[in-house]
Amino acid sequence: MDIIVNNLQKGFGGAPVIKDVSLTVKEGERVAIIGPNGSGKTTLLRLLNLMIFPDQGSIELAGKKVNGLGVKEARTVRRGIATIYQSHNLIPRFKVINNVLAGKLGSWPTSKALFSLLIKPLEEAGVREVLEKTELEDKIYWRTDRLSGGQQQRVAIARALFQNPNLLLADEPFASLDPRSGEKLIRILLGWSQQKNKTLIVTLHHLEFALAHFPRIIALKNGMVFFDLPTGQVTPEHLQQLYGDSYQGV
Amino acid sequence: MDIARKCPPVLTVIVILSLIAALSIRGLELDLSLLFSTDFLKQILSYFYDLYPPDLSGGFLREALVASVETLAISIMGTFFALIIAIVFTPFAIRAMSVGGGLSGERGIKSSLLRSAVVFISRMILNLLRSIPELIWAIIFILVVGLGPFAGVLALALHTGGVLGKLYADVLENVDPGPVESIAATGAGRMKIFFYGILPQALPQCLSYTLYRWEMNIRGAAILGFVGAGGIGLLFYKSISLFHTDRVLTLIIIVFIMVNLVDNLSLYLRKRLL
Repeated sequence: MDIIVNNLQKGFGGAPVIKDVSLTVKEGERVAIIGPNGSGKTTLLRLLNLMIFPDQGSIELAGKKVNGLGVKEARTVRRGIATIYQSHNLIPRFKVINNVLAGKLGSWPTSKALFSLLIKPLEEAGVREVLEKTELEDKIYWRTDRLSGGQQQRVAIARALFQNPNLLLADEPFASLDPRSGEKLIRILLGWSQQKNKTLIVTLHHLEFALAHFPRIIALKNGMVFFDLPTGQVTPEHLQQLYGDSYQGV
Repeated sequence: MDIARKCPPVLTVIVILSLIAALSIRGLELDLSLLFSTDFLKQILSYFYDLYPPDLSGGFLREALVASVETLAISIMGTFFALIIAIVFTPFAIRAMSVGGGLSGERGIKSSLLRSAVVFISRMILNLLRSIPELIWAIIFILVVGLGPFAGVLALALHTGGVLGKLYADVLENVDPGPVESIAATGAGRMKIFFYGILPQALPQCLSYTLYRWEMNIRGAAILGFVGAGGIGLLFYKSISLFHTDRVLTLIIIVFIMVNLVDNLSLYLRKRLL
């Protein structure tokens, strides 16, 4: 999904969190967004998945202007965008399969969603397919809260893949995992993007991950784009300036 | 700063609560020393002594058992109708779900005013139902539908419906917003968001509250008979008025057993379901 963002501004009452952001992402690109805490990374993702709407500026997704859309139209656009959250945001009491199936809720009619939840989970084959990718196929009928934190994040990834989106957003998806598990999961996301030529945008706390795996890095600072470069051109000086004194080097 | 405002110092709370307690004791002219006098103890003991032995004659026992089953039935039906009342009103009493609420995705001042009005009216109705005690509802319904268990069922249903509606609304409003947002982000509409994001988080607590209110309604139903709304209360009333103290003891034992059975059943259900 092509993304064109122009002069975006968004605040929540106080000073704007996103002050002025413009960027273009092409279909199939894999982009890491980095930046210090409070630089506006999460807000930018929520603007891109239409959970919030900008105060000023415009967002174009796949050639269509999406800010100012009505309720129904916004829902239709959201179907094509999957989001993975830092705290996985699953329902702990649900079986894994029901959490994964929730990815398709945007395109399912309510009657189908209720049947699947209350009577018998539908589309088991499709769920098995994505759970195979995240290596959780054997846990398909487990209660989600019986899984470890890393496994639950893999369920969240499976849910996002099951949605079969054109754009996948992930907000610090590995922040609460150990680096090795994070490494494994990021490969799943990158592989998916490469294989299907779909856009992947990930905000990352771990600079190493960003530099090692993503061809393009966008840095946010104080609600503005600080730099937007191919990974090869990002220098330690850039990062020093971005993070200031807290930068320890990679 | 924020935390300090939310949690006043423990000491302040203790001082204020003791002050309120002291004023209440004065205002009610309670003589707490009575509690510790030997006279008081003697009277209580002698009353219980007079109750013994219980009346275990077949005829009365059968009558009491039938009445206690009726009490149980009143409490179950009352709680069931309360559940329906709560389910009908709760969605309107929650800001996010009510007309024009955040989940409907509508924006603008008009829908926000309408929503505030609907939420306010729904909460007022629930408050009204809740603030009238079961006993008063029972007296009202005896005038409307006549003496008997039906009045008792309606009385419990309205009062408990108001209580459950408020409790459900509070629980549903306080679910973790994370899963709710993640469901909304898939493009789901508000029904699907409710059933996949909100309800599964709130269900255990709502069930627990419902079972707890059912336990309370067993005791409530036992009293309603005093005003003629069916159940074991009527027998209590008759036995006490006619000084059949042995029968009062029988009834106390039966109610005690019944309440304990229900408490344990409810505990078991809560453990199983949560």
